[in-house]
Parts: sequence; structure tokens; C-alpha cells
Amino acid sequence: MLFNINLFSQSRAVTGTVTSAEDGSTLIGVTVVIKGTTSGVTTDADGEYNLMVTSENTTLVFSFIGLKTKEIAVTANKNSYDVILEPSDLNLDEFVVTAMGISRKKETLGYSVQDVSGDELAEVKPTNIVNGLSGKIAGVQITNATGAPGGASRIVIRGNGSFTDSEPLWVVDGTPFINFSADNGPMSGADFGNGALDIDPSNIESISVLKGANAAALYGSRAANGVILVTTKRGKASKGFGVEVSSAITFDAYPYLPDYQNEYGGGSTGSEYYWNQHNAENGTNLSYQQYAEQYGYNFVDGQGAGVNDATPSSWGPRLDAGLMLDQFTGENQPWVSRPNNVRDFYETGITTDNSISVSNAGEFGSVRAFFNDNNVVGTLPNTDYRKHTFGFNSDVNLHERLKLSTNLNYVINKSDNLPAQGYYGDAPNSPQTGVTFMPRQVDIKPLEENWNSVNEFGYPYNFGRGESPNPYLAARNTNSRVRNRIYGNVVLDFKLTDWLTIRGRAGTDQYNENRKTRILELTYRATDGSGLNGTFNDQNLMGEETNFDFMAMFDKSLGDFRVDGTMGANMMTAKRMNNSIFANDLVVPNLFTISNAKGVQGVTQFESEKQIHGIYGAVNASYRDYLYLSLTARNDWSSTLPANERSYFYPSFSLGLVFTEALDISSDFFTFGKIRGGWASVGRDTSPYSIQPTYQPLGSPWEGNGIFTLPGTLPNQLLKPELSKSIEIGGNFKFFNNRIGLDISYYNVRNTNQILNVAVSQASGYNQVAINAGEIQNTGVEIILNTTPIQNNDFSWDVDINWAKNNNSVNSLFGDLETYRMSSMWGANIEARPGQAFGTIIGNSYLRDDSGNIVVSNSGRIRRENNQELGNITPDWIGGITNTFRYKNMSLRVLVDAKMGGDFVAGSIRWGGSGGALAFTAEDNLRETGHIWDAVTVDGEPNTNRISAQQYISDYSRTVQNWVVDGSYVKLREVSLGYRFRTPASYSVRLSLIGRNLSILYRHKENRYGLDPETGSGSGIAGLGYEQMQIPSARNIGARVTFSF
Amino acid sequence: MKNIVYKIVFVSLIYVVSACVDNFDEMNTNPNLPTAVPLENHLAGTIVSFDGSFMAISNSAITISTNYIGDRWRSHQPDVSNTYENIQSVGWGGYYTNMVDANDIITKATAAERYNMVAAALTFRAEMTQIATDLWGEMPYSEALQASEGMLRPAYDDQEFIYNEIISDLKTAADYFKEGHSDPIGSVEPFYSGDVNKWQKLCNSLRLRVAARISYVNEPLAREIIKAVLDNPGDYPVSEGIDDKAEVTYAGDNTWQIGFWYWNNLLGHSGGGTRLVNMLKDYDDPRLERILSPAESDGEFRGTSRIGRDPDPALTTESISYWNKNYYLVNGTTGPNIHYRHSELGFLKAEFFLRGLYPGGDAAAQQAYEEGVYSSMKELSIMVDGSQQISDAEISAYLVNDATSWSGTDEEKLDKIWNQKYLAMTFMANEPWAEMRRTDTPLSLPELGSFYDGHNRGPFRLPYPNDEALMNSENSKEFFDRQFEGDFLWGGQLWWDTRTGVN
Repeated sequence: MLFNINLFSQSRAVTGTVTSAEDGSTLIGVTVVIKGTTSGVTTDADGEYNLMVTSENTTLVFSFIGLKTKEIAVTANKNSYDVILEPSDLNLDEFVVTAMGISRKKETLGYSVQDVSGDELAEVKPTNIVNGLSGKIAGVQITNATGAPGGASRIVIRGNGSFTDSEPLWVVDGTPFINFSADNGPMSGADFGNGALDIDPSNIESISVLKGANAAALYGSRAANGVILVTTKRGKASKGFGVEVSSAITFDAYPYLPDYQNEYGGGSTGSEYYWNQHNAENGTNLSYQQYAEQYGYNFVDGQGAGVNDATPSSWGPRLDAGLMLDQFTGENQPWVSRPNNVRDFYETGITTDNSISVSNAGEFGSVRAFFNDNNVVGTLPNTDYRKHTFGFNSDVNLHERLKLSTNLNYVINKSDNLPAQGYYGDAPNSPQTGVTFMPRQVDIKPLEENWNSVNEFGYPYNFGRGESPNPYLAARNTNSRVRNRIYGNVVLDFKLTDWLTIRGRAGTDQYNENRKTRILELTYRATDGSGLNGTFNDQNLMGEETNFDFMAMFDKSLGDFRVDGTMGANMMTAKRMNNSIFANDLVVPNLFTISNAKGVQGVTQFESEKQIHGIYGAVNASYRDYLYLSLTARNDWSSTLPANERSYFYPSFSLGLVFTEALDISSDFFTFGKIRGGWASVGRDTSPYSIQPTYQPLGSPWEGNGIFTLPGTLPNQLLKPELSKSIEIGGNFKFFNNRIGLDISYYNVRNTNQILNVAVSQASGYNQVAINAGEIQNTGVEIILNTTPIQNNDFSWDVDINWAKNNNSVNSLFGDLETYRMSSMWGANIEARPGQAFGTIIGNSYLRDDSGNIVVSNSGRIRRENNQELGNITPDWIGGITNTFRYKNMSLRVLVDAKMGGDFVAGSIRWGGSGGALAFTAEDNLRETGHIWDAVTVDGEPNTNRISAQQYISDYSRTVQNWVVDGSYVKLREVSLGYRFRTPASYSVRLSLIGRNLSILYRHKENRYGLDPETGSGSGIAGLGYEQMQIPSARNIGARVTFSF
Repeated sequence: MKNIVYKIVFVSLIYVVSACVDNFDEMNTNPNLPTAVPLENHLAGTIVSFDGSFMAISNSAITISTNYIGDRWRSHQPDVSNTYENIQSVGWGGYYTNMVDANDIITKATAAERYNMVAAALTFRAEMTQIATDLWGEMPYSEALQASEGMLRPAYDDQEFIYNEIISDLKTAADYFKEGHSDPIGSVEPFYSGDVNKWQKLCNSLRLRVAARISYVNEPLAREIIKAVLDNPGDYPVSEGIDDKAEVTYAGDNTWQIGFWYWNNLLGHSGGGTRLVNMLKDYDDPRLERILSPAESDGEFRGTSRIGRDPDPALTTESISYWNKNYYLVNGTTGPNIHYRHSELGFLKAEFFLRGLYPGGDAAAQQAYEEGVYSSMKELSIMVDGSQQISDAEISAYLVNDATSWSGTDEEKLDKIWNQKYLAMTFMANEPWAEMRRTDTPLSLPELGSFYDGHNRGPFRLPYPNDEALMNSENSKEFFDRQFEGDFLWGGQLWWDTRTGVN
């Protein structure tokens, strides 16, 4: 198509192809105009253009809806210009998915919504979709619990609003999705992951995060903590038949381990300090070799027959000093350090990820089918995680007024072994417990080779008798899992008139999961000699949530006014079932079937059901293009509440004003400005059976009879629904023709009447009482800054920054209750206390006298004081910065995210300290010279008692105060370097090098132990803020290739 | 058309909202747990639950103080400073929740006019309370157990008040039993399978236990109780033979492994304590080899100890005495937790007669003492391998030895009563520890090397659970302050502890 051609003699043809930077596809219909004229062409079906230019100083302008306009200067010697158009992040017409799946212009919203594109998630694809959001959304805090394959991650929006469950509601294609949490406490166990693992990042078009109650109120009770709206990819994008294949392989290596010492090996009282003391006190003249083998360490059976050979911690003799000692590997072995013995236990994890999708779109509508195979081999021996996802969706036009949409996802999530972790006493299936602080001289190779054998005394081959067996044996004690899950919905839209559509939607999410824990007979010879022939537990879990929605949607314009809205009703039914069979001993060893149980065959049963019925309505009204008003209201009826409190109503409203439009002050400098504000409330129910008193069976039947006691929790027949009230104000501002975009939000959320089982004085007769608790308040500021500092023909640089600061305050609890304890580990509590931020760390500290001196006993040992406030887990701020560079066909994206402030309780200091394994236990010649506490004695005298390093570190590491470590970090979270090959327009090939968790760029100086500060157990509230023998996360690096036509 | 649609929408909404909430009460009824259970099964649950928390003792303050149990691990030796550090009062909450259970049974049994059941629950409530207050001293009692009325921070009562409640509970129970009701206690309960007469005897025997405990601090009341019981054997019968023991025997089949035996013996975690082994050896006591096994290395009996200890590097896991497994593996079980043994009655009566708390004089005291020793010999020699019980001849010979015969001054005789009582209470925990604090015989010694140095006796009481400082701070402050002033475990002698010169 040519218009207006001047046929001067100097004129020449300029040609080229225009492609999209997003997916490399050629773009049809791109307008190419000579700047300053009306002369131009549009690209043809192959994305090519051919344009005659005349003068030397011509500039071509390429523009296309939804993409950034680009200018190219035509030079004298070059007649071919291929152009790549970038998506326009700052485009005024940017749409986001909002509540009920309705796509709306961001500019029309009176609240903050932020989204992440599916492509961004899919490229540097994490196993857990939650981790893919880290650093990308302002105000969203991700806790990447551990490095376990398929491990749980926790997501919280705008701070912890609840003492029990602060995680947002997940909605996939319009239907709620169960993101059950792995509610592992600080003592942990196997991490079976969180529910969102069953959403495959490759299958996602976009994720919208509805942060506040305004955005989320329509979703009802469970939306008080925000909503994660997931929209899966659909066929209509393909314009005809399309295929996409994507494959990646990544490697997990170099786990983040604490800093170990390599100077002293296993045993006790083996250092030079003790040697010298022994000779001095006994008038002997033992050589170090003689002393070491008599008093430090000597292996006989690993059960106590030798010298300190049962539970050896690294307080033994000096390594690499020429000593020869009996060890588990044989008699008279060189006593040498093995600096990498822990690291060598971890293998290189390998993740392969393969997806294929086929789609078609046409008059009939569109269809798309998707398959993904995600296969993870863990960094711990004998661990894995496999997931197969089958997705299908369609939009079929049954009639010009009737459209049928279906979304169906089937997921098989399978692992042969999800290792236990954390420290919880006898941990037969936790390799991590056995290996983390094992003695520093232990040679890991023979443990691997002999995991299945016993020594001459009949005990399993091991370096001692630890809390956990030989880690390679522990790795054979498996926690396997198979989960089959189906989720999706069917939607029928009937377009009644131009402005009114009726929609019916039936959605479900259901899963069946089997978990098997099997402990081999050999283990029981190892840990306690109890002679068990093995144990097992087979657990079957079922979860089901169905949602039926019926709604009417209207959209009508009257002159300058436009009104749209929704009215609907929802019925939600949630069921859970949890049955298990177990045997605490077996007749035939290692035959894990219930008919082989020795003694009683163990059985447990649990089921629950609840329903919420709701009606809701939303109205959005706008005047011209600058004034926007939204109102929503919802009433719920929940089966879980007492009859007279069952029904609860909650409204919201918000207002947005585009003042640049209203006042007509838009300019090239100040392109766009909007202010917005809103108020919302959301009610919330509780879990089933919280109001009715029951008896509970005490353990197994007693001589064939069920015996009962009253439970430790007092139910409450007067419970009221929880209520969350929030205000949010903010603004969007865009400058320099959208090159700089700024979005600022302030919010204040008050959660009242929280339903809690709160621990009370047990003398009241109960350990816990169900109450409506007082008030938690979160106020905060979120800033989103999107800029494009450089943009020219071949090169562009985008910087996207998310930053959020949340202030949390527990305003009141209940009556005169003093504290709410969320969890506890070894005397370190995490509590909510009135007047403080959520997550106060409570524990003992050094006893100090009135002048602030540390007080020690008359023999120079530390004294302590209980119940001191030692820190808080709430961070000061969190943020992320993404730098995206594009040069021709190449792009580089780098995401750095940070958490500043917020403490964690480091169990590694407790156990790595008292176990003598960590570097700080052997620094500054401590083990040769001992230590004198700079303190006064209980009698008030200056302390002059010299104590050994072993005693000093025992004092140090048993004091909770010393476990509280500032958890600040800056991490190099994601890097991708992509290259799109030049191909014919009919297909595209993209290759990327990808990396995740590549480096911890900053840690607080308090964290001198080398610990990964981003830690927790599971995704529930119980494990929050505790670090303790979790499976370490590792650096993840690999490559992905994507092919589509 | 439009009107129809509106109607459909409207009707649907009304339907969804109203028609379906009718079944909500039913839906929210817990299908997993009962809202009512038979009283028999509730009583059994209460006894087993309390037994698991308090009788399967693993509390090192008690095991160290009583020294029945030794210390197997040499690896503990270089640093004993933390010995008392991890002592926690885990049972505290268990006591109170079991008290809620007992009260629930009493309320419901009273309403059903099942007075034997009321009496059994009152008897057990008294036993529980005595054990608890002997561990902690002052505790919430009068304001306790009222969470359902909103009382979440109950005030503390002094121990004398609590003891009066115990005495009153036992008196009420004894009078119900006396009335001779016919309702069953139920065969599920683990003490006597519902034998009402045995419950009655336990109730009155416990009254004598209580009387002895308060006899130095409120002698008139002690006399009153003793007289009421011993004057009226028809109305208030007491334990008559070793079959009147109250024990909870666990199946030991991996469903019920709780039990003193399981923790301390079966797993080989610990051996015999020095004091126990030495006393039995010194007395040439036939119970020695019934209770303990000789050391593997040389066949000697050798106890270990954490008290007064001079680390002995010569001791190894092979050179110490473990428990004789033939004794406790009775009927393939993991052995009983002992609440009451008949031999105790002999020693109680011997003390009452000797101290003149009840008329009878020296002759009656001697008879009671010898009955106590005789019963204990029989109780502690029931062996699983069918080996002979300690014979009457052996017992007679034992009772003429200087160290164990009824001879010497009254003070020496009292010491003999109490030392024999200590031996007879082997494998018990709470009661002997309380008696050692009341009588100072045998001495309860502190551990050397602990950072709580300078004490001449073992701990006086258990520390209050830290939760009380966190959740009931105002009421508990006074008691916590005193606890810490007294070095944590030495925070003041109990009300009935009249020892002098102890710290």
C-alpha cells in the first residue's frame, strides 16, 4: 500500500521486517511513516515493509497499538532496517484483570493492582510459582522456605494481617484455588509444599495481585488478605493454528551453607586447653596423642563404649596435628579435617522442564491444550519432585449471544522422597539433621558406601549414635507423595442485550493425595536400639472446593456517564478428609503393609465440611475519562459461625480522578496524573467445628476401649465473624511521555475480631481458648517506579522498582491477655504483644546487674533471665529492582530483591554452636586459651574464672539472645540473557541462559555465621522466623529454548 | 424477555441465600469427635492421661534428687552446669486439664446420682492435686478451671488452702463410699477395673498419706484424720494386701509405651542410681538382684549418679548396673506406673504409732514396720521368669540385721522406717521425693558442679512453667520472684516442709 509517492531521482526504497520483542513474531499492520509527513505504509502479512524515501535526513516512525513507538534514522548507505517493537509498559490503555476476572483499564481503578506477565514467570521458571513473584510486586513478601525439592513458599501481601493465616486467596480463571500451606512448625519434618505448586508457570498469561480489600472485597471472606488472580493462556492469542515448545534444563549447585570450622574434630574435652589442664591438675605428662585417645575421642562401637563416641560433637582433639585415632572407618586413622564433608553430601540438583502447547482460533472461538513435564532431582541424595500438568481451555461461540468457556487443569504431582528437615529429636528420615553439624573429621564417602551395613557390634555403620542415623540411611527412609488434582470451571455467558450479560459458572478444585512415610528396620538399630522392625504411616488426604456463581453483568453509557457492574450470588462448599493408617512396629521387617503391623493397627480419621453462601454487587460509574467511582457490597452466610452471627455484610467504595484530564493540564513533561482513594471492609469466618465442645480420644484404645478426655482448647459458642477494614489512597503519575511512571499507595488496614485459639494460663483449665481477638493494624507505603532511561533504535534500558514499607502493630489482644504466642522453639517464642509489631521474639538473655554487667555464677558460668524481648521478625522494608536491557535480538533481565530489617531465630547457632561445628566456636585460639566472661559473679566480684571454649560456647549458644540475627539481605534473584534467532517470519526460536538465587549480595554484619537469612519452615505461620537445619537453598543456573510457530 | 431474566436472577439469589442455610447447624456438627462419652471411659481417660504426664517421670529434678536412677552417659561429664537448666514444668497444664475432666465427671455423675463414680473421681482429683501441689507449692486452685466463665488469669492459693481441699475431697469420697451405693465405676479404669471396694480402700489409704504429710505442720488435723480412719475400719477400710495396689500398666505394644519402665529401663537410657544400689548392698537386701542386674564387665552391682559426683572416668557403659528386665516385663508389658503400694501403709502406721499420732506404741509400730518391709519384699520380687519370690525366711533374716531390724532409739527407728519406705517406693517418683523433703531421710542432695552452687539439699520444688510469667504475670509474679531469688529450683520450702538448716 503506497500513498503519496514522489518520484525524485534521489529517491530509494527502504525495506525491512518488523517483529515483536515480546515473542519474536512478525507484526502485521505496523504503521511506518516518514517523520514530519503523512507519507507511509503498513507492514504486510510477513511483517515486511517497503517504503520510498527521498531526502538524506529522513526518520521513520514505527507505531502499533499496544507497542512502544520507535523512530529510526535512515542513513545514506543503508537501505534495510529491521525493527523490533517493545511492548508499551506505560501505555495509557493498559488493562489488568480485576475481581471476577473482569479486565479493566488500570487508569479507571480506585485501588492498586499490579501484574506480572506470564512470559516473565515462564522464562526463569521457579518450581514454585510463588517464588516467581519475589521482588516483582510492591508490598508482596515471599518467604522461600527451603531448598527442598517442591518445598513450600509463603506469600503475604501488605504485611501479616492475621495471627493465623495471612496468605491471600488464589483464583485461577475465575475460580478459587486451594493454596493449602505446609504448616510445618520450627521443628519441621517433611515439607510437602503448598498448593500453588500445582499451577504451572509456563501456562500463565498473567498474574494480577489485588492487594487491598477494595480490590478484593467481591471475593468475600477469604479475600481479606488480598487475592492472587491467575489467568492461564488461551487459544485466541494464536490467530489460527499455533504450536509452542519450550524446554529448559537447570542445575542446583553450591548450596548456601553456614561457615564451618576445620580445626577440631569430634569428641569432647579434646582441645589443647583441656590437655594442658589435665596434665597440670593431675601432675601427668601425657602427650597430646595420649591425652586425645584417652580423654578426647576414640571410637569403639559408636554407642558409648569408646571415648565420647556415642554422640560426638566437634569438641574433640585438634585436626591436622598428626594425631592417629580410632575412628568409625578403622583403627589408628589419621585425624584430619575434611572441610567439604557437608558440602559433598549435596549433589547437583537437576531440573528439566518441557512444555508443549497447541492452539487454534477462528470463527468458532478458540481452543488450547497444554502439557508440561517438570522433573526435579533434589540436591539431597534420593530426593525428587515430578509434576505433570495437562491443561485445556476453550472459548466456543455457541450462538452469537451464547459463549461457552471451559478451563480444565489436571496435575499429577509425584515424589518418591521429600526429605524431612529441621531438628526434631529422633529424626530417622532427616538426612539434614544428621549431616548439618556432624563432626568435622567425618569422611562422608564411607557413609555413602556402607549405609546399608552394620558394624561388628551389630550397630548400623555410622560415625556415632546421633539424633539421626547415617544421613545416607536417613535418605532411604522416605516420605513419598502422589497427588492427583483437577481444577477448572465451565462458564456460560448469555448476552442478553448489548449492555447486559448473564453468566453462570461452575468451578471446582479437588485433589487426592497419598503420603507414605517409611522407616527401615536398620534405623531402629541405629537410633535407640528399640529393635523395631520398621514403621510406616500411610496418609490419604482429600480436599475439595466447589464454587457456583450466578451473575448478571451490565455496561451502559449515557452521554458523558458510563455505568457498569455485576450482581451475583456464590455458593462455596469446602470439604477436607484426612485418613491414615500406620504401624509403630512390623512383624516382617521392612514390609510396609498394615496386615504386617505388630501390635495395634493404627488408624486415624478426620473429615470436615463448610459452606459459605454469598450475594454481591459491584457498580463502577465514570464521568468522561477522568472520574471513576466504584461501589461493592457483599453479604456472606457461613456455616462455621454461631447461628446469630452467621450472616455478615461488608461494603467498599473507591474513587479515582485523572486530574491531568479533568483540568486539561497534560503535557510532554507531566503526561498523566491520577489520584485515588477508597475504603473497604471484609468479613471473615472461621474453620469448621470451632464452636462446639467435644471430647477427644486419648491415643489408641485402652485394652480395647476408647478412652476420652476433654480437649485442651475451649471452644467458644459466642464467636463473631472477623472484620477487616481498610483505607487506601494513592496516585499514578507519568512524566516525559510515559518514560517515567510512578505509582504510590498508602494503606491502613485494621483487622478486628480475629478468631484465634489463644494460649492462656493453663490454670484456667485449658491450654487454649477460642476468642475473637483485638486488633492488628498494618499501615504502609508502596512505591512502583517504571522508567526507561534509554530507548533508541537498537538499545533500550528499562528500570522497574518496587518498594514497600509496612508498619505492623498489634493494637490489642483480648481482655487482659498479655501475649499471643504463635510458635516456640527451644525457648525462643515468636509472639504478638499488644503495642508491638507482630512477631516479637521472646527468650532468655544474659542476666545483668543494675550497672548492666553480665552476671555469672561463682564458677564463671553464665546466668540468664527469661522472657526478654530480643527482636522482631517484621522487616523494615522490602523491594526489588529489575533492569531490562535490550539490544537488537538480545535481552538481559536482572532482578535484585531485598529485605531490610526483620530478625530471625537461628537454630544453627544453638546446635552448630553447642556442637562445635561452626567457625565461631574455634576462632581466636579459643580452644587453646579458653575464655573469661567479662562479667561480675553473683557475689558481686569481678569474674576471673577461665572456662574452656566448650563451656563458653555452651553458655553462649544456649542463650536465646545470641540466636536472634538481623535477617536483612540483598539477593541476585533472577538473571536471564535471551537471544532470539533470526528466522523466517512463520516461526521463532528463542534461547535464554537463566539463573535464580545466584548470590546473596548483602547480609547484615550480625549474620556472621554464613546463614541464608531468607528462611522459614513450611508456608504456615508456625515456622515463620525460624532457621534450623532446613535443606539449604542452592544457586540455580541453566538454559531454556522456546520454539513457536 | 428482560422481566423473565430479572425474575430468574432474583429468585435464584433468594434460593441460594435462604433455602440452603437451614442445614448449617448440622453441617457444623463435628463428625469426628463425640459430644458426650460414657463416664467410665472418661474416668479411664483422665487417669491414663494424668498418669502419662506425672507418673512416667522423666523430670531430671526429681530423678536427680531421688537418685533411684543413674546416668548412663559419660559424655555428659565435662559440663554439668546445665543439669537443672532444661527442667520444665510440662505437667502443669496436664494437671489442670485433667482437673477439668474430673470436675466434668463429678458434675455429670452427681446429676445421674452415680455416687460411687463421684467418689472415685473425687479420690483421683485429690491424688492429682496432692501430687501437683507437692511439686509446685502455691498454685491457682479456687479461681482455677474457670476459663469458660472468662477467668483466664486465676489467682494463686497457698498450699494449706489446697491441702484442706484435698482433705475435704477425700473425706467426701470416703463418705460416699461408706454409704454403699451400687452404681458401677466401670471396668475400663486401669486401677481396679471398677472394683468399688478397692477404690474405697485407696481413698482411705490416701487420707493417711495426706495426714502424714501435714503431720509436722498441722499435727492436730493429722491426728484427726488418722483417728477418723483408723478408728472406723468398717466405715473407712484401708489397703489390706499387696493386691490393693493402684497401678497403671501399659500394654507396651507400641501403642501404649508410656511408663516409667519404658523411658528409664527398656531403652537402656539409664541404670540404677548410686544411692539405691548402695543402700541395697549395705543392707544385704534380697531385693537388690530382683531390681537390678550386675554390670556386664565384672558382675558387680554399681550405681551411677549425678549428685555429689566426682566424675569417674573408669565407669563405662559396661561397668554399671542396669535394671533387671525380668522384674518389669510382667506379662509382656512395659511395666506399671505405681500410684499406691500396700507397703506404704505399714510405714505410715509405723510412723503414726512411733510418734504417738495414734495410740499403739512401740509394739504396734514394730508390727507395722515389719508388715511394710514384708509387703515391699513381696511387691518387688514378682518376676516375669517365674523365679521365686523373696521367701519369708529371707525376710525374717533381713529383719534381724542391725541395719534393718526394729532397734535403736526412736529417732533411729524413724530413720529406718523412712529408709525402708524409700526402698519400697523404688520406681515411684513424686511420693518418695515429697517424703524426702518432709523427712530429710534419706538426704536429697544437690548436684555438684551445677551453676546453682552452694546448696546442701536437692531442689525444693519444681519451677513454675514459664507460660505463667507470660500469661498470668501479675498473679504469678510474687512466686516467680521467690523462685529466682532461691536459685530457680530452691525457691522456698513448701508449706509442709519443716526441715531446718537446708538451702
